[in-house]
Amino acid sequence: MLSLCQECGLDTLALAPYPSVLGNKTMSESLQDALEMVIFKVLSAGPNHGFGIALHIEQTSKGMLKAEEGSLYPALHRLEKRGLIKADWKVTESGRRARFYSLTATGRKRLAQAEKSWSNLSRGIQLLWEAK
Amino acid sequence: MIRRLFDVFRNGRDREAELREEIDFHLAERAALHRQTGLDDPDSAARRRFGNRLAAEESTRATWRGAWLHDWIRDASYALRGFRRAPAFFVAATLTLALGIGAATAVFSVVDPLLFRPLPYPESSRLISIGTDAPFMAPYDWLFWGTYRPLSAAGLGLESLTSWSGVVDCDLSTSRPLRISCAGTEASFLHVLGLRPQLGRFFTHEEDLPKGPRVALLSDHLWRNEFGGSASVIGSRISIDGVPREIIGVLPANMELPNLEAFDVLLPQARAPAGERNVLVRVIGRLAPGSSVDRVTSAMKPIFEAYLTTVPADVVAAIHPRLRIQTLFEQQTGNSRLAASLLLAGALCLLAIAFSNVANLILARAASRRHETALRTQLGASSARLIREWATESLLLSAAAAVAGTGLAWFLLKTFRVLAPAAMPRLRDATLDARVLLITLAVATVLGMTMGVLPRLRYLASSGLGAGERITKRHGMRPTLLIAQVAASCVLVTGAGLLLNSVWNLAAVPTGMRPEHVTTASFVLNTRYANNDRLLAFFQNLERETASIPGIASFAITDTVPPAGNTRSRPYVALGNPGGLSSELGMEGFVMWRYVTPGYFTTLGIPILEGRAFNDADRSVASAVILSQGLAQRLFGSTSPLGRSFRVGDEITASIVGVAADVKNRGLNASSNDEMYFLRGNTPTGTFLNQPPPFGWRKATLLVRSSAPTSYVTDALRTRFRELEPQLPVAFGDMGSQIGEQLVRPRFSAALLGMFALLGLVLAAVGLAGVMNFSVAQRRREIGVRLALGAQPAQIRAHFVRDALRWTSIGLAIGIPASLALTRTIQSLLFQVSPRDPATLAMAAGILALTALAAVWLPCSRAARIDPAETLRSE
Repeated sequence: MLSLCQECGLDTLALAPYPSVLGNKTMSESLQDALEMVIFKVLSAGPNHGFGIALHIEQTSKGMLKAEEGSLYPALHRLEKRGLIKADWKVTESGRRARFYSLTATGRKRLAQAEKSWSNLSRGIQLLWEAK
Repeated sequence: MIRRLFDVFRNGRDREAELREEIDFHLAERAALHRQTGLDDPDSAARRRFGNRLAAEESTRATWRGAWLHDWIRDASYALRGFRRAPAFFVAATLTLALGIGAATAVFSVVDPLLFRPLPYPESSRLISIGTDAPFMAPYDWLFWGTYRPLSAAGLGLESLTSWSGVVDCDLSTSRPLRISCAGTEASFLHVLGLRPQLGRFFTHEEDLPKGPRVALLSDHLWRNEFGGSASVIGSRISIDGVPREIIGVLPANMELPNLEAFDVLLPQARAPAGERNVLVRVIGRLAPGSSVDRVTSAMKPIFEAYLTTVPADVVAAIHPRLRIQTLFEQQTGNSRLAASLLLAGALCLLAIAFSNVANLILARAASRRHETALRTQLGASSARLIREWATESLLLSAAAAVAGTGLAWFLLKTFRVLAPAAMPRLRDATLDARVLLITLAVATVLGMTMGVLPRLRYLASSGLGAGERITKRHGMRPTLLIAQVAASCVLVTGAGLLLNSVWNLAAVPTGMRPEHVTTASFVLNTRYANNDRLLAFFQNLERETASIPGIASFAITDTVPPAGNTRSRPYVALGNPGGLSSELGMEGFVMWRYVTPGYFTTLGIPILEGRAFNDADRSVASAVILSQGLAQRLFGSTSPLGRSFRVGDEITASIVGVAADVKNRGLNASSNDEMYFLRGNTPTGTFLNQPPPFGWRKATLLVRSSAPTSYVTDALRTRFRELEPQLPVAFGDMGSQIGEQLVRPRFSAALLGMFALLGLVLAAVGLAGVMNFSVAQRRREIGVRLALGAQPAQIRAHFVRDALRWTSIGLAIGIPASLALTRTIQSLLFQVSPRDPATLAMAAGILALTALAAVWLPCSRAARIDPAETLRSE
């Protein structure tokens, strides 16, 4: 689950009605999707392992989002099962073995679709926000 | 999908180890990071930060196991929620599909053995029946033994030829006396049919001679029930009709005789090769390869014509014998084919209505949910995902319909079996054919899923969220389907109406007697009574005992009971034309006759029009006879026949003592045949006393008229019979049911078609209500505007009702001509009503109109109750 940095004081509005990548879902399921969405985004930059993804999220969102690491691996395996990402064991720079994930062609396509809907929706909400 | 399957098969232990390694790596990296920033106890911090590791591993394991199952459950629960929100749709669609599935399955289960299943003999299509069609001689196709014997199979284009003599009642004496059925056949019988005994052997030609060794074969069920199914039965002896016979074989299980009659024992018919020329036999042949029925017919024709030249011309003119050669299959199914085809047509009509109905309902629902579809597509739902959901929904619907449909099919089959006339034996054995059920279910599921998905595909690629889309056509395809339903229902209702009319007319036919309060007791005496004196003594005792029962008004003994037609008969020409009259009928036709006791006319309430009934004095003198009115008319015209006499063939000189009113004696729907009544005397007369049944006196029915309840009479009779002959099986009934027998067949057809008509009406009503509902929902805004502008609710309702009536009228405009065209096919089943009967058509139209009104009342009332303020606000 993605949790917001408490001290940052940001509204949860931005994340709650998050467009679902995979269809109609309940609240907790959409939050799961948000995590999956973020994983997609991270992997689109290049293959990475679970820890690397968690780190990337923290760093790139400038500390505003933190991935709850316990839910990262179920999400990764779920995406793998759906054929949206694939995994290979490789050796890291430090010489250890790690499981690297990367986007599949289907995954890339899904990401493109979701990005479009997300930007439409967030723009729409922004307009509403400013209009009030 | 395939990956998922592979995942399942992958070694679980590897995955576990890998997952642990993965998380270990994560924790190690995090700890390293912490160490870099100089945190205390980096490993614990890393673990704390990670959170519940076990939970994470468990969640991951869950994703391996059942993601697809989870998805499917989610789809299913969503679909179920959808059904709960729209219960009307769910109930209507399920009910409709269930009706279609149930009716189709039941009918196909019945029709399949009747029309489609081949006979249970190898290469059964090559079996043919050869015989004379002369219903007054026998109700089956027959040849004289003298004609049959010289026939050569090869000369006729046949591979082989055989004969058999039908099934008669006989007595089996083992540990206890048993009344069973014996079939008599020639030695070649089993061979021609292509069957072999399951135990032992069949009898040979030598054993098929009158003085040959007495042998017998058991049927499978007799062997199992009475002889324990043990192989030691071969070679043992049993006594049939007092004659000891050796059991030489057991016939295969489920063996059928060519006329489908049940039998227990098979005996050699033992005809003398050169004697008994005029005995009737039934002939079966097997076509030689390359031969055909036509070839056999052209070969038999000269033989048949040669035989006819030996018969006096006037007898030929009277009997009208025709040579009939047909396949065994045709012979068996001929009578039932019309009824079976009726069933099939009715079921197909129903199926068409059902499917068009469900299509309608689904289309309506799809259209009303297009907004939801557009929204979800917009939010990123993939087409595959939506299609999968719709398919799941349709699958659930089909599953529910399947369960309901199977129940309906079982119930319908039970009803068929109860109603089925005895003359349709295969119908009685109809069971729910699993094969048919599976096929119907598969078809229904596939069709259901297609209908659930296809019409909604066009809503997938939609341009915007909501507002822009207009309904370009007001109704589109839906009224067309509805009109078709109305037309089909019209045909069904008209057909059912005509048949019901016929049954009504048939039941109201005056029989010429007063059959109320008359109990019947039918029996056949066994060969113990092959002695004239013993036979006479039995009947005299029976009459004495019956007379002694208190409370009876009158009684009689007869050999056959009207209105059924299976009486003795003689050609009219055999009476010798005593009145010297000639009419347009000439010497054609037959005269029926019965052997009765004096009380016959009083007991059945048949009025004596001239002269008198028989009395006891008549019984010791020469033959007295009573004519039916029709016969008296034909023989003597307007002159009184009383006191006149005539010879019946060579054996009897009959003197006429009275004329009785005509009684229905050829069933209810045919005019009564000429009939004469002979008296059962106190001394054995003529040759008629001791022939095997159904000739002779051994087959008889006791009729008792009494105002006491039937149970009292039956019990009293049962006691008397037991005293006279304890082992005699006696069948009790009453005249009402005797007459009712005549109505069984027409009632069956009427009930069947009526059932289909009712189901069709229900479906049409459901369809109409559904479409009307949708139409009202679609036009809510328009209605709201109208109401706001001052229209009355009643006007709104009237508007929709007019729509419904318009569709119904168009449906009727198609349905009525269709009915007129199609009802001609059931003409042979109708009685005293024309297939174009205007009253029935008008009634059918009326019923449909009323049904339509009833169906749309609720939706139209909903339209009238719409709150304009609400609709205008919400849009």
